[in-house]
Amino acid sequence: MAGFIARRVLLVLPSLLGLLVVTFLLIRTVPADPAVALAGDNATPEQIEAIRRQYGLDQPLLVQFGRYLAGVARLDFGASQFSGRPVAADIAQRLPATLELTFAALLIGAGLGIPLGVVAAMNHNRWPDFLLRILSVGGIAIAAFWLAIMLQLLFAMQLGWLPLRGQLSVGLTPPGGPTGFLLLDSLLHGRLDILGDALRHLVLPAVTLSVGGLATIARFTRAGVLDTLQKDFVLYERAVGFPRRRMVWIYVLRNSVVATVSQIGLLFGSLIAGAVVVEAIYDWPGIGSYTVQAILTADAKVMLAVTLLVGVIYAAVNILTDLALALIDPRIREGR
Amino acid sequence: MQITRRQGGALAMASLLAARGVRAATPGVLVRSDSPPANLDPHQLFDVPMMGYALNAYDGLYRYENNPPELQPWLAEGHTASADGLEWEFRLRPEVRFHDGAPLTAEDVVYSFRRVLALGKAPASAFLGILKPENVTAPDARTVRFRLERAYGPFLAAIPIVAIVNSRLVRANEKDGDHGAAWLAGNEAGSGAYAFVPGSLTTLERLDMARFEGHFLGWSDNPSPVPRIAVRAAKETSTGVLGLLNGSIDWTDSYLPTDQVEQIQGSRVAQVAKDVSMRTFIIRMNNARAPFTSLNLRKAMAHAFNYDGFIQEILKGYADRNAGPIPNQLWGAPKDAPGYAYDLDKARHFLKLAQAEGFNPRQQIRIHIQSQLEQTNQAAQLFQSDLQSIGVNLRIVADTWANIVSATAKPETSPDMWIHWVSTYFVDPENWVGQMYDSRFHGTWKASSFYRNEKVDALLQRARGLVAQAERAPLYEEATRQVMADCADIWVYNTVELRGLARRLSGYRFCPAGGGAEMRWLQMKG
Amino acid sequence: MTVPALAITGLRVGIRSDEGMARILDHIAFSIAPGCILGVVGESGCGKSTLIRTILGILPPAAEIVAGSILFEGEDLRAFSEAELNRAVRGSRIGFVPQDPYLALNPLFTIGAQLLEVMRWHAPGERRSHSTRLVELLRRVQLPDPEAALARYPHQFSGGQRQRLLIAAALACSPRLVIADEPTTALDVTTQQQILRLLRELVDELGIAMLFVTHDLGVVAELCDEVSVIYAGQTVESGPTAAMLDRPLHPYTRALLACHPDRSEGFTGIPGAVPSPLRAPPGCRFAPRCAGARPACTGRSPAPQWPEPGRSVDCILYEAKAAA
Repeated sequence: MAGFIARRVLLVLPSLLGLLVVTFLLIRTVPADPAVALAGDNATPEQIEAIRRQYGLDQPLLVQFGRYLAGVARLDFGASQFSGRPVAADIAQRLPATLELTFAALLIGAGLGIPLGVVAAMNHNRWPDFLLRILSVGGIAIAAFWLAIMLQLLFAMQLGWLPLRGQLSVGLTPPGGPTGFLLLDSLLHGRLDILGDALRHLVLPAVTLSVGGLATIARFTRAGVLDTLQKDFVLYERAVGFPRRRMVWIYVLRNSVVATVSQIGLLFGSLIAGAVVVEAIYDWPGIGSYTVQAILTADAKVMLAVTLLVGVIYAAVNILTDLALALIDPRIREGR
Repeated sequence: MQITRRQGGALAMASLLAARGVRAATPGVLVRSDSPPANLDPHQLFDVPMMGYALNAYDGLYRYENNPPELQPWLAEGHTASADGLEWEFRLRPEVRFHDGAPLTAEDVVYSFRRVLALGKAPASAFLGILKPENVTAPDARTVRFRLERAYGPFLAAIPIVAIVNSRLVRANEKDGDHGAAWLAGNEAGSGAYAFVPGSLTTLERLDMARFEGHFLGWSDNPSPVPRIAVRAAKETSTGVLGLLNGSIDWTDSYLPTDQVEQIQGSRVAQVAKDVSMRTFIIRMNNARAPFTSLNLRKAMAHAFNYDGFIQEILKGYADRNAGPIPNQLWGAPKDAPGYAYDLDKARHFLKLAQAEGFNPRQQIRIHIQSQLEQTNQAAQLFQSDLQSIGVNLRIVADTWANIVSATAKPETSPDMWIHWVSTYFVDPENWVGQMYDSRFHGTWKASSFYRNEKVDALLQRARGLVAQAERAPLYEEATRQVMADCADIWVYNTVELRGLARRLSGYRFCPAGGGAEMRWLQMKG
Repeated sequence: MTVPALAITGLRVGIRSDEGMARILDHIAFSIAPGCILGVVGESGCGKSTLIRTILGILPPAAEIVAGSILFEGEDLRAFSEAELNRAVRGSRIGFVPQDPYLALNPLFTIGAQLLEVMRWHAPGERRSHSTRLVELLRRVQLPDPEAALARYPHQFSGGQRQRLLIAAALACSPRLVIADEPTTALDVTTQQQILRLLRELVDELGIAMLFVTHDLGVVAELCDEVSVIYAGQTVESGPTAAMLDRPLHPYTRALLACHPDRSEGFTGIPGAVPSPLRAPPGCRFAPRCAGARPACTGRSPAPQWPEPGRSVDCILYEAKAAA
């Protein structure tokens, strides 16, 4: 198993380097000059030139990239060319919020999507199946923006059950350290009040973000279960009178989720992309809005770091997915 | 995305009529939904979010107050200037203390100005050509002396730009000769009415401030000041408006969408402050490159924009027609210059003249908009439809601020047309006509029309070298008349700033410089 | 007379289709005494699998029993609810050995997990005793290293081993009847012989009844006490194995024997193919392929005849003989 992981990690490294090169070049094709943003509204050309020198933007591309890579190797992502703040620190502060949001969305998506898919498959071509098929098309097509506003109106404005925006109530201070994940830290500090408040804030953004993934997961699970039900061993299990519920939810399901789990790995990428919109609407302090700001200000350091980071997370999630598949299927474990 | 956002917002408002108005205000904490600055160092950044922070955390020698803005002594009790405008001396108030209790002295002022010049970032641009670091000195603990390289009329107007920092605190945190830039970007060393709460910053998202009891102005004039301020940026207008309406936001940025004003005014928890600002909306033309080298074509364009339609229909009347480059209410703006009116017959007439000069109407003219600012798109679309009716082909190009500004470095790369605002960085005609139409500024985005007229250059040069407003004003007026006669750009309106405020707040004071973001005067119930 | 382990009479199963209800099984009748092995023989598509699914109550949703009775140890299985069948019949009183040992086991669970699941369900009790019993059974079916087998996955066994596992599983809950669905077709000849020998031994040893479904008359000859031949969903002939193989009565049985490679001098085969139950010919379903068919054959279905003690045949030829 350790060898399996090591092999996967090694395979990922070249892809990440390639990702960096492509991103670096892409950013350079955009004419925007970060020095201009830094110099401010009344800047003279000399002032801009001075700033360009200060940040090494006047150097040849290869030199700039080399310097950048050397920094990355030391986990130094430099300072934002827009704000002057260290990129690593800003990202470290924001990334946990995005991860909490996406994992919560994934949890909701899988927690509801898998059972819905199973129920639909077990009722193939009957009303629960038709209902799910309609809803899943709707779920994939629904605009996160529209859904978010509807949820805000209902739960924050009309009913007042849940907060409108943000990650934590204004009166509360995050407990700080050691993980940077608000939910985890408040739990570790025994601050259940903060945990509860943070969970209440998490509900609407996570539900909004989960909808597309939920639909996809439900569809894949449904297809997987339908496929598994055709297998000989299901007939055998019925013929020897397996307990019905356990047969469906354990023996059939485990065989059916292989495609779903692979899909979850891919979904994670779209969840992070979707987080950009959801974070903006709910004012969730994640990397989404930070990235948008970086794009608007042509902040190459931030764009590179975020791209690399998302690449690393995506790769990590896909390695985790492979691990999950290996846990599910002993034949994969044995490398068959 | 933009249209969805607007529709979503409208939808939200419609459904709200039935809402039972959940109250979500936090007692004792004012929640601001405008964006915090990208970093906390007032010497690195100079923009609207920074003003919203620095006007509260820091003090300057002088400060703009009221509307129209008046320059008032602040940390300084007053100043003197030599007749040639080169020597300036400021006398400091006694007994001013920083948030850490240290006294504020002339040494801190000198350090702050030198630091601004050394960093060379946005706040430095008003001073870089006219002031050398070694010429800011402190003859004694309460006196600061400036010796300028050459006379510079707007010098005093630019003085409030520089926030005075606690020199001992910043020096203690300098690293590798960075003037403490890394440290101050995430910390605070000021004397202002509100102090940054350490550790409360998430860049561009949130920061907290607490009232500074020891502020030099004291608090006797404010019976119920705001004890604590929580900045929690709202990124989407719709969320910001909803927050205002359920009481969880007390204070928004001052750019509320005009179609939301009525709705908010009708609410029991919030209202809208409407203040005429000094922020002009301009459609630029690249005078240095065909086809806009033609005066007749520029005039045809100026007559083809539906000023009233834009202001009345799209902005619901929340803007004032401003026919020239300088805000109407500022000195230096000629009161008698007529400007251009929407008149398609005149536009056709000038278009014919331009065609006679060789303009090909089938040639595509590109107008760049800032895609995250919906209003630039609306203006471009309105313009496009009118131009189409007179046979001019306008193409709208979605772009970003950073891209456009990079392109404006040279007339060859600068767009045919683009749209932006010019805000108040310092309250002086120099901020508008001076920096926009003097050819010495070509290459900066503010001068991106690449307008060149030696007469105007000379007038502006002279105005810049004088100190007395009475002598400078006629020069700026004359320069402005000439620029308008040359129809360098299309000047549209002066902004009415629209800020959402909770009804539990009172005592809001607006000033075009800083947009009313100074919280010291506010009173809060509950 | 002892109660038969399984007695089926007049069984008719229909399946709904666009063209109406089709009889996929019709006039099925046979019985098995305890300690006996009954071979049910027929070509592919003749309804063997449907017959098994009918007995076990796991017909596809579109199919249903239209007529007839299925008496298991004297009780009519049709009267059982689904829950009762699942709890107390399938896998417990009726064991099942599937056709393809490669496909019948769930690939993602260990042998122990799968087999013990069934045992725990049908005979709730201590886990320990279940696994002890299972290990004993695995030893009895001559699976090597039975203790370790429980922790292994299906793909880690050979085909023959898997079939032994499945036989042990079928016996795990002490059934009175075991239904074996062509359990040796997927195996090589040597393994096939071993498995058949094992089944015979177990039936003799435990006194259980076995329904052995196959298309292979050679296997029947070797293993079964009695035979029932099915054609196109209908029982055409039943009787003791030796008598039937020596003197087949029904033209179909004869044809089947004639084309068995062990028996026929020249391999002939039967012309035509088994008709789909959706388009079953009128009268005797074998008539279109029958060398001795006469016009009356297509007029009506033949009635069962008992030309010898213990033997039955459904053919118009023997109606005439009986009448004469």
